[in-house]
Amino acid sequence: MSVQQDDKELLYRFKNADTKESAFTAILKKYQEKLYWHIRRMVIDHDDANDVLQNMFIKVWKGLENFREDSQLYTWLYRIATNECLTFLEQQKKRNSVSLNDMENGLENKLRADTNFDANRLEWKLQLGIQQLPEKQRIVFNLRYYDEMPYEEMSRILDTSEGALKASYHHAAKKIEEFILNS
Amino acid sequence: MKFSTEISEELNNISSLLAGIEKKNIFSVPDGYFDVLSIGILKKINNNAAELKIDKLTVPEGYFENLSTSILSKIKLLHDDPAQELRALSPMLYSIQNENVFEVPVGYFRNLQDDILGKVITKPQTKVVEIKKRNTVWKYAAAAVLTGVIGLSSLMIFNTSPQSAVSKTNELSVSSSIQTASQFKNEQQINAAIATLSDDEIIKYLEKTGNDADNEVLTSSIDEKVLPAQKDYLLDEQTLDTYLNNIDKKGSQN
Repeated sequence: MSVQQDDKELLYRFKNADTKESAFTAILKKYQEKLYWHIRRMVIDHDDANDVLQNMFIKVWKGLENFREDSQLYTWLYRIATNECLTFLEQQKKRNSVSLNDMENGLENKLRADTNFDANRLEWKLQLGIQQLPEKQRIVFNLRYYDEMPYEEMSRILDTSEGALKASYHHAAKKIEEFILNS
Repeated sequence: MKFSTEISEELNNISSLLAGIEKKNIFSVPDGYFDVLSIGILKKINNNAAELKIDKLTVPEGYFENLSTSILSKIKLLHDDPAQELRALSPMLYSIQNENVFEVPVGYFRNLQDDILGKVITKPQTKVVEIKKRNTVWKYAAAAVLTGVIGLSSLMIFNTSPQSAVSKTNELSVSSSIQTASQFKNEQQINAAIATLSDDEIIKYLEKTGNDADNEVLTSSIDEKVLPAQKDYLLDEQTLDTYLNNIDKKGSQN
């Protein structure tokens, strides 16, 4: 059975009161890791990622009944997760009364605070370079680089044209390369 | 972790440096996190639903402290039956309690309301145009004409020579009528003299002589086809007066 068939069946079961909880559990288990990492790469800290992820799935529970199925389920889930990330980062910014640059430094500091952090390792430099990007560009790079998401699907999640997304990814990659070379 | 061919080629075209970096996950996750994640989320969802229910079930302050008192007072009211109380106190009194020994006139309560309202509500005084007043006016006119008639008659009777007698009578009647008229010094004397005349005598005299001035007033002040407005009856004495005159005139003509 294809992914889409599975999702349709899960949606059908979710709309039935008797099987609602079991269907939701199945959806959780199917998408939790993908969505977690998508969020984690944005907010860096595990506890923050956990809060955002749980809030995101509570919203899914409330809204899944009215899901119109005009897009695929995981596209819809990714969109909610992305919006929750951006909302969280915006709230953090306001709470700390910091500018965008300070916020990015904050995330960088969180990276550096990780017990496994090693500035000499390329993968850590890559992460530091990603944190230099603006939020939306960061999302584009992460979805393409880590999730290998097609531009067509990315376009539906971020509501941006494929051409713009390609350009954004191109610029993001160049910036990160420059950061690594200069670090 | 390896890129798909397409994405790998794309990144290689942009940055060979990045394409060469091994895609490693540098972030760590607590052990068993994903195993219990769904349970934690469902628990949160159920807790939210339970909290929503609890939030709505609020109880006013001091509710339970006063509840027993409130219920007892309501029970007392339910059992507060004066008849039963009397029955317990005195069965003899209970047996005669509803017998009424006093009598009331037939229809008393039916008319009571109107009687009271009649005494309480004072009706506004409406203008009353007395018929007699109108007759008084006519009596004044009749008196003047009558005096002239009497005087002329006297003149005619007591004058000896045919012409001179007539002229003398006329003179005498005129003078006598004037003399007669001069007896009435004031309105009260005229009224007293006219009071001796009957209504029929006055009416017959008026039918013969008429009164051009009054007729003119009648015809000019009223429209025979249209009755005066109701408010005019109450506000304008002259209008009522004139309308009554018209009715009399029509009645006398018939």
